[in-house]
Amino acid sequence: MRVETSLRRPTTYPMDPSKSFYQYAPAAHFLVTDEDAADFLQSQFTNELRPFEEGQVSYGLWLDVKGKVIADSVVLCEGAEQFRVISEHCVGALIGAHMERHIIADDVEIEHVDSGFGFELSAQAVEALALECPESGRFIRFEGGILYSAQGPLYNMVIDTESAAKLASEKLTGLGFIELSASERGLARIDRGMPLVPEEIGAADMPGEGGLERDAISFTKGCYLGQEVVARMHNVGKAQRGLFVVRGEGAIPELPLALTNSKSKQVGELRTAYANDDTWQGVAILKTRFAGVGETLRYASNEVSVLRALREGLAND
Amino acid sequence: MTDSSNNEVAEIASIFVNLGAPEKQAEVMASQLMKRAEQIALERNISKVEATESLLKQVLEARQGF
Repeated sequence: MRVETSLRRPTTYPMDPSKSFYQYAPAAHFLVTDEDAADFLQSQFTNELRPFEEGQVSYGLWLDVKGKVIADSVVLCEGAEQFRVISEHCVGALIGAHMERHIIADDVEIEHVDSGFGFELSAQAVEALALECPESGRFIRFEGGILYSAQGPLYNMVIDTESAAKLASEKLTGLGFIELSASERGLARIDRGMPLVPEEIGAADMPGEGGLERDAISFTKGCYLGQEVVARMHNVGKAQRGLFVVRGEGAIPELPLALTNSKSKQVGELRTAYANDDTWQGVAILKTRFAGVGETLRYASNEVSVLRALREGLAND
Repeated sequence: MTDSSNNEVAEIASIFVNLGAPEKQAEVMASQLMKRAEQIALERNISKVEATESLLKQVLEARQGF
């Protein structure tokens, strides 16, 4: 259950990200243990997990054999034979089912644990909680929780108990930090250029179509499920579709929604949308041959403006 | 949790048990899935039943390797 400590404010995005925080219930939280756990995860996860050093955290994807995106998560190395998998949006039963299909003769145990209470925090919010910000790619344990830095400038904290989560939330609110609503957080995420898995990039899509090769894939780690397709697209191909930030007016339409160009050709699909005053902003996957920044697309009698590529301007690391 | 949400978790857990999950693990998975279904229902303005069906379909497909 989400911890509520304050009444909703009539604010709209943008607001100062350093003075806000967001609470969520992780959709997946499980442990992968036993003597083959490290090698097994390395063979399934898209990002590098070596040297399997305690305290290391990595953000990446779980792909099918065709290189399509099943889920995303972070993997925290808690020891040579113990790893913790957490995903904000992708359910544990889904990632677990996918993994169990590929456990052949490996000594690997999967143990689903209580989700806990997730927080997305700025460095200022971490310090306000009297915690030390971990380095990028590292996690720290504190009494009753975990704090990690896996992707982007923000930190994620997962607290074990509802009472401790309530205290943390109250402390932040008391210090003037503003709790983001789901819609405000969606807009903030779009501002940071972070795709949402599986809503914006999912089972019908390749990681490259979401620009996820920048931070969710290692091209030097060797084989993992779906690797050949991903490597081929990276080395010799080009994504035919991409994620774009779009804006419309009026009520948020039902999603997913087909978008057409001026010639009534379907050029993509609106995947997410968040209200912002009288307009909404969202993310659409578009065929780059037929649609691009600055164009106006349509659904029914409504217009949608294509503002920018979602990951435009991010460092290609 | 309310009685109705306890029942929903128990129903979903029984599906996972039928798919081979140990009972306690099935309950945890079901609880996580129901929380996510509630969020999706709010975000997409659909019913919780629709959101739950969609998530369960994904889980079954992942098990079968589609």
